[in-house]
Amino acid sequence: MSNLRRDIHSAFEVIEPPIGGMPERVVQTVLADKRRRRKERMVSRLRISLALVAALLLVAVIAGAAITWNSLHNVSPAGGFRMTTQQQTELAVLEARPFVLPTIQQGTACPYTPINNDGTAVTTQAGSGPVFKLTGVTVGRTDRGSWYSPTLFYVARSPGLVLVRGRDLVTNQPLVFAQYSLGPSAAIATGPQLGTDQLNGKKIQLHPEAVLPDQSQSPQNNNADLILMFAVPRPTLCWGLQWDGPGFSGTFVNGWDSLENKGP
Amino acid sequence: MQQVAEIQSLPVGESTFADLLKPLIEPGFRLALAMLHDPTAAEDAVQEASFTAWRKLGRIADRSRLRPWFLGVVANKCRNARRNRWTSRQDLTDDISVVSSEEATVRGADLRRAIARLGHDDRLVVVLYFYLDLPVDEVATVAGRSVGATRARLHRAVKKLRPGVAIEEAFR
Repeated sequence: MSNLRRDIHSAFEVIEPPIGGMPERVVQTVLADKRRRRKERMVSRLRISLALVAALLLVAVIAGAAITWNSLHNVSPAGGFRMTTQQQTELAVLEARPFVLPTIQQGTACPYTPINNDGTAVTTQAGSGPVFKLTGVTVGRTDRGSWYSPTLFYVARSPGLVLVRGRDLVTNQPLVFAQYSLGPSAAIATGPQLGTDQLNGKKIQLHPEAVLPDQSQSPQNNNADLILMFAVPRPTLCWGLQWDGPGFSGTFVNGWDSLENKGP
Repeated sequence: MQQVAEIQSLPVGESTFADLLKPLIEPGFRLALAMLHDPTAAEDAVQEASFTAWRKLGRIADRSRLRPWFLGVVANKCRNARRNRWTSRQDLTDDISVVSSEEATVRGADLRRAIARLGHDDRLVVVLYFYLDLPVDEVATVAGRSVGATRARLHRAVKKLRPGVAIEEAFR
């Protein structure tokens, strides 16, 4: 052994404390730390899992609330009618009923539905029921024509939906409906979306028909009015609505005397 | 620093870990003591190196290279410890009191102080070669240098320690 090697050995060996149980102690400390870390990891994973479960529960509660809200109101955000399968079947049966509205020649007198007065709950009723047309107003005009909003009254005799369709009696073109945009309405524009229009600065969706809800399930006096909204093409002088419900079909015909004098 | 080849990750059980690590604690502690001149700091460095070993041991596929790898980890911990210790200068220049003959004590203390004044890399190769008696190729592995570079560093370090000493004599 060289002098330097021997001297360095001597220099450090005199300050080197006995190792004793150090190897065992060091290894046990590492293993204990490992077990502690493993436990912490498990607790951390458990916390993450619980947080995920809580988040999923929250999402489920929100989704449930949204579904409940929608089912209570039975209206989608777009204004469409969200029906049960049974109601869809019922509506398909109603849609299969033929139109009974007449077709008239240009220049022929429009066969207006007579106006009735009974002086009780409503001042003016048009039609023979169980669906009556009450008041009606023109709410605006677009390229599609004059948007007309009649309020209906329905005296339900048996449960079921009522389908409302309309036609220009001269050209035989179907009328397009939209959800009443000036307030709540229990009547719902429904069927395939036919496009959109801008009415009084508001975007509205167009549909080929409207539906009146089952009044036996939710009586009208507990809900919003049955207000329709549909576009009457400009040149049209005579148009009609047809409603088909459980055990009945009815019509309402209206129009204008001339292009300049539209009414009633 | 060049690391020992980390080839694949092998699962290491607690008993295997203990069997592999225990024989390395003593050389690790001697290295740390000679680098830090403080038994408590030396044990801390070995403990920290052991934590690192637990995390990375599975990656050392060649078990024969475990000792140089572990000593390299200890050396790194010593470097960090020395950087972090505000008393490092005092610790390395003052010496631990030794009960021995006066002449030997003075000679040993002088040598320890001289080694303490070396830079980390020089001190590491001196301690590994002259105190832990590792062969030069293993010293090179621990230091992360080539054998030639390690040999050259050893020569320079010895010259700094004992300018008058003949190199051949030092390496006998």
